[in-house]
Amino acid sequence: MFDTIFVNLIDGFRIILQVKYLVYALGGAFLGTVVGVLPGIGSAGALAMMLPIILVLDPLGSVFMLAATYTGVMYGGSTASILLRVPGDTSAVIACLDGHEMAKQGNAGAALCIAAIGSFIAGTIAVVGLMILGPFVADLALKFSAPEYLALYIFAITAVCSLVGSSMVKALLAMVFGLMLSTIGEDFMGVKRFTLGITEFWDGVQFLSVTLGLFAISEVIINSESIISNKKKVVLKHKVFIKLKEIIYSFWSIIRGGFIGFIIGVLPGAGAGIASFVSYSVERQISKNPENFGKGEIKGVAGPESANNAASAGAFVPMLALGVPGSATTAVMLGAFLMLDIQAGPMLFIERPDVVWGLVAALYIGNIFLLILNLPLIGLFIKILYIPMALLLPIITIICMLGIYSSDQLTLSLYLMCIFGIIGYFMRSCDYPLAPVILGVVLGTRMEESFRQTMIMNQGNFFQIFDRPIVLIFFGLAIISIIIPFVFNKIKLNASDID
Amino acid sequence: MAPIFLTIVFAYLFEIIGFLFSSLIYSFLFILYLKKSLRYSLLFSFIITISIFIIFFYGLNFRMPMGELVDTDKLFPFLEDIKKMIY
Repeated sequence: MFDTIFVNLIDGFRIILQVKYLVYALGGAFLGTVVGVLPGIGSAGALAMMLPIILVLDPLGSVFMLAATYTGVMYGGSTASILLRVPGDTSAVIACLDGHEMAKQGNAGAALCIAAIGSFIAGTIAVVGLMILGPFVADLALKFSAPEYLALYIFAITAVCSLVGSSMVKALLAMVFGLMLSTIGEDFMGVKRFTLGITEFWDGVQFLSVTLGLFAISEVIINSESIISNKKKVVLKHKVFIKLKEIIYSFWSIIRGGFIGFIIGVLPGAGAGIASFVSYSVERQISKNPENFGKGEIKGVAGPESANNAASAGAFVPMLALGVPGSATTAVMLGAFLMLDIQAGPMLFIERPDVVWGLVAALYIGNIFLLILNLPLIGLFIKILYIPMALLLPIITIICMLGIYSSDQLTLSLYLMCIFGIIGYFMRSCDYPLAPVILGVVLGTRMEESFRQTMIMNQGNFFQIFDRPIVLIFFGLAIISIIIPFVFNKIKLNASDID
Repeated sequence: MAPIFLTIVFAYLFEIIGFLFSSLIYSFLFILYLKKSLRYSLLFSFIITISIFIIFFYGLNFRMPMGELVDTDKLFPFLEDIKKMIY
């Protein structure tokens, strides 16, 4: 089996290692990184923007460029989160927690470096996974139906809530707030809920309004307050590069993030956002110093960023092997395949091995280009932090406004962003974590859908889901993730009593 | 809370007077609010607005509100012409 894979991969590299394809991949990685930095566009939007460009290229070149763009966008998203606390996508939200704290402490270079290195290593792990385990994992993913997804979402929520912030109660309240927001709009059965008679609410609250409001606008308010109150801000000299010992320290987090990201990325609908949340919670759970998380812990950037990138490669598995797009991004990619007259699905491996193995090789090359492009650019990115706050703050708000407006052309979404900015400001003042709100908004609708489907499947008997082994595994993990912080706290208290 | 008030006003004016004017007014008032001089605020609000407009409108082909009360398209017809030349 490995001989065949190796021969196919060599063929893939033979195709892509032509100057024109390398230029396409380089262009894609660069454009992806630039577009990924901007909020509101996201990976699906970035790929959609590339469609007019790829139409003038040959089919293979188009596929390679799209793949490289995808990897670039996933990395670019974290840059704005780390430097400015402006997450443009769900997957970039977690980078705000420790990444932005590192930037505040003058370690922006290290945070961006570890994100680039982690993305490269985990991206490579995921591509190897895509090559070797692709068809097998795709079969496993097919075993996931509504009950398994429900259990996965419950695990993701409990894991994050038990670990983000100083108080689990506050994290749970924040998550409930997110879940409540997700109930606004038309439900699974077409019933309109909490829309206040406003038609714009039928589609629910826009995710970007919530995210940018809570994270970016609250940051703008806090920074403006500190300028107005004449709080002397220490101008930090940011380190551009990372120390070798920091890479070694984060190495296993990157590897774990790679595996977690790949597995979750393969599951249709799960996506890079959940992968980064789960990776963050795993890192904090197994860390010897969990109290450092949220205060600029490098592993809190390494793990989720790696998971995020690996998930983007993992999402290709169901798309290529089954023709099932697992996310909005792979749906756009599948659309591009159709435009290029390439039919994704089980026959693709037989009928168009050049596309499949060329794509695998393009992902390898895209990851290498990403590293080559981004490491020298880190110094340039860090320069953003030297822009005076009085100029940076209106720039952030204007870009957030444009990002939101471009996605739905609604002024209501802009007002919502302002409202969530105020909510975020007060939540931060009262030490409530923001990440669980985002997780609640993202997972709420999917959880409800899975729950309803499960109830229909089991004819109203919820407890029947415990007959499924995968569900039991996830519920077990959820219980462990809730219990572990309490056990650790107890052990610490006992240890301090003995001291 | 003044920044959020300014942002709400910006959101209100966004479609009414279009991106160019609303962004210009917003960035000018914001920078002025952050205790910068009048000349500094005016200069940088121009630079910020024009740079963002060029990047998003021409570079990324974004759809931007051109204004209902003040129609930027009619005031500066060359903006759209340049875009047509690029795309």
